[in-house]
Amino acid sequence: MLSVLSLGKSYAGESTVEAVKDVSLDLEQGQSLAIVGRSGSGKSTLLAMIGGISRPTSGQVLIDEVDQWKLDDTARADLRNKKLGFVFQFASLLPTLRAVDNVALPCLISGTLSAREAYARAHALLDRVGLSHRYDAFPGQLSGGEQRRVAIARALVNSPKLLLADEPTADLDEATEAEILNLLIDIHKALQVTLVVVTHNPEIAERADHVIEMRGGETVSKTERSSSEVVSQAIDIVREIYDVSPEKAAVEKVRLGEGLERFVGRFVMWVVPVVIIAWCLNWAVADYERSEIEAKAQRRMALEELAMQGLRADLKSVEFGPGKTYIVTIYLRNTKGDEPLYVMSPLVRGFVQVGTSWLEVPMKSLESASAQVLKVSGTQMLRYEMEPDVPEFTQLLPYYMHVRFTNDMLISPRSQPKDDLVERNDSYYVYLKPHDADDKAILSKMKFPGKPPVWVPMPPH
Amino acid sequence: MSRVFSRRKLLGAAALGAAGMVFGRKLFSQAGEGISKWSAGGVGSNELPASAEIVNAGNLKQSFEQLGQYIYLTPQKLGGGTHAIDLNSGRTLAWISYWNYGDSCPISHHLAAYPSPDPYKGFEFINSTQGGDNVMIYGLPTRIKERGLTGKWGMGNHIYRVQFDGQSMNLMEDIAETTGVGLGVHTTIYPDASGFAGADGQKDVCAFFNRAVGNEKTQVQMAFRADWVGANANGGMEENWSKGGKIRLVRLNAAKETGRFELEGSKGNKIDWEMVPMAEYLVYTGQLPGDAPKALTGLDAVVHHPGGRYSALIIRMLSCAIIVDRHNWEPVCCLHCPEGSPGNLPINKVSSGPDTWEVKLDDVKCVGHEAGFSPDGKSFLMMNNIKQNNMAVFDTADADPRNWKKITFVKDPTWSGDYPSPFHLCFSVDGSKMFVSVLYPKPANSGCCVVDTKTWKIIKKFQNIGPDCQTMAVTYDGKYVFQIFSGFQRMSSGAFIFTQDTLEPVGYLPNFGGHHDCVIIPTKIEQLKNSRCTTL
Repeated sequence: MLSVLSLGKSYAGESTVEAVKDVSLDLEQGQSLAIVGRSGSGKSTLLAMIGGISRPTSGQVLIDEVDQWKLDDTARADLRNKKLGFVFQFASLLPTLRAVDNVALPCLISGTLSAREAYARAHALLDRVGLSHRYDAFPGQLSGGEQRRVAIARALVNSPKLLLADEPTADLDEATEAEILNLLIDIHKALQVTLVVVTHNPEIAERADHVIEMRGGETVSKTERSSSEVVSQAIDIVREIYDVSPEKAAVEKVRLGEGLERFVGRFVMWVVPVVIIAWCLNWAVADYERSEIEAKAQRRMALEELAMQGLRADLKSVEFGPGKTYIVTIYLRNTKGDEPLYVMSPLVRGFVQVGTSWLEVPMKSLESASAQVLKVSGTQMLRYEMEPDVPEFTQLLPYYMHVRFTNDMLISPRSQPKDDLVERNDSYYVYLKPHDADDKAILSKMKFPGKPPVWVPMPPH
Repeated sequence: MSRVFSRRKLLGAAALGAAGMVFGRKLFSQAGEGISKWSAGGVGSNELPASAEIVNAGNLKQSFEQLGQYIYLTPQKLGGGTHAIDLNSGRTLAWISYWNYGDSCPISHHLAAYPSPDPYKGFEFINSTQGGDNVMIYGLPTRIKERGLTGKWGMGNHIYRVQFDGQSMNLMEDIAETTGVGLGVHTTIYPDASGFAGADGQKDVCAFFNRAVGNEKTQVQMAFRADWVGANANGGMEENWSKGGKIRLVRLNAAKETGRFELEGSKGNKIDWEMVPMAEYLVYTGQLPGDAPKALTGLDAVVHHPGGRYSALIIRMLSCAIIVDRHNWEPVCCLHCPEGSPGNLPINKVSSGPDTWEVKLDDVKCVGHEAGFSPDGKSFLMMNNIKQNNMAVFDTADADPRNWKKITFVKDPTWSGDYPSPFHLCFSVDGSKMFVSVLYPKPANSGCCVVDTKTWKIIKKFQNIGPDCQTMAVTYDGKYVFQIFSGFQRMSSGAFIFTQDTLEPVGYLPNFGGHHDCVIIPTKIEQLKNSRCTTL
């Protein structure tokens, strides 16, 4: 299962240091190897090269006949994840994860099992290492021995073929050390895991199938014992740990990623719908407002068209009235015919040019005072009386007054309008012959085809 | 306490917040940028950048560039001048004001431009002006007359020849002063750009001029006056025209002693005010002052057939057009436009001292207004206004104008009564569409419409554009139509733009003045077919 061929590791520097020299060994599946020796003898370096952690400078490490150091990083990491378990000198648990999470994590990363199955296996392993009461403890809440048990369980969770342990009881008290080592051996035997353990503990070495002693990076002795016995309950134990039933997995509560799931769930369940609802609401409101604004603009446009183009208003005539007055007739014509049109209180005012200013002159309606709102259908005449008593008026045309009429109207298609009302301000300009003007004098200055007219309208230009 | 504020809850809240920020930035990236830029900019901060960013505004030509490399020329009417707008940059390229040249009452009225291969380096245009009593028809409480500004130097009817030299506009010549022919209304360039025609409905005079270059002086090639001899001249004013009569066309000659005509300023005016739209009413009612209103024909414009030989004298009071052969300066026939009237009337020479011709009209059913030829010369149209509101369409494909026939009318159900009325016209470059301004009385906004020239049906209307839509112009690349508005003075003004092909509105171009006309400077002679040459 494991073949190490002429493995060596040297470090280049001022002088080359050979940490491991030409080590070779073979292990069958289910065998165990204890590597012993003094500190700095190269034990851990050898284990790191076997475990795919430290690249050898020479030699090969074949695991199931695959030279792992010829694999690329990804493939080697995959091989490590699926075939190797590693128990370090220190437990090296992730402190923010609970015991069961730490154990399940390699399985979750490899993806070989579903999250529920991984947790089921993690629970079984923790049961197996005697931590069934500490599933949910964080590493900081565990003793050193318990942490080692968790680390062993974690190393076994992917059902490795090869379990590497580097002084797994280094800093433990004797009782705990014995307990852990016995557990390791038991598991190795029960699960038929090939075990390579670096240890100072002679008891372990005595129980291993193979023992090599290292000194200065070299193998100085090799001891081989009879093959390990498979404990009687091995099959059951393996089945208990690794054959997780769907029923059991189904009730497992997945711990690791629970927060993320909760977060994602919260996001999906709340934020996304809220955003979608808010967006839909915003869109609907905006669409409604748009349609309302557009409809209002259309109504306003139609109203303005009705007021500006539907209603024709202009001077019809200006005639001499009694005394010095003039009778001014303004027509309002509904050009839309069938559409009703209401004009509220046409306010008609008259002004005469004096200098460069317009001087307002008295002007009163000759229509019934009750007609505050005029319904305009067809053509309607409005008569006013104006009395422009302005002696110093400006004469743009000889003898004529320059007069401006303003006509301010509120126009609506309804007799009782609400917001459907448009204000329209018209101006009409005329030249007005004074009552006392002498026609002969006018004709001496200007020519008309007949008698000088009372009023001369300005063309609409 | 720990249940309320657990690390996991805080972590979850932080993650939720971070996700929210990321999501929010994505969703509201613009707002986020705005806020970040705002805060990065240090509002209220005294910190200034080490060096100021420099923008060369002269390189910014993109604002209007979609309209093309064209120069759009518009007279300002009461503004007293004319300005040229570079449609590519949106800038006013140059302007001229005739006050500065001693014209004490310039009303910059109509214009037409000669082609220039590169208008940005220079071009010439002819600009007619009004003046005198015309300034008093707008309701201005002015003292201009009292102060003598409408006298000798303010009578109007100047014909200015102006040159743009690439930098500024220069007044090259007052053709009215040179020739003694003062005409204040339409000017139209000949199709071969060898000269131009001018007219004035107050005088009933039209004249044809050669093209002077640089410091040369313009010469009159030919001038005509039209007089109306009403069959019922002693009846009511309206019957003076409606009962028929004769148009008498007289060839005018310069005085032998001076070589000049006696038509400068207000000399020769039959009426005191310009023939504005609907002024015909005032003539009918006797309310329009003037020396000879009963003789008025309203010869207000000349348009040229793109074939280059014939010109049409547009006579508004009678809604007809006398066709003149510019090869021999002889009138050929008279197109009579009202619906129900014969389309083509003969014109007879009745005297040779001076040359005089007459056209007999049995009746006059309505007045007319603007007119024009299609770019291919196969159609002639003229507006019938007031009593009829339509456009007469003549088939002018025949080489002999005496065979030109009235074939149909462009009508619209809303063109009833005196308003709204079809007003000015022009054609798309490909001739497939005719664009017509439609006049509403103030304060209503006017509009324009599009007519299919195969069927002579209205296919689209643009309404509520602005007060008093006047002449129209098209870009010669076939892309845009410009509808200028604000002939009514002192009101809002501008140019409404829409596409020639898809007929989609583009927008408004701001413009100063009470525009009465517009022209896009042609770069080739053939573009005159779509310029102020064939249409008004």
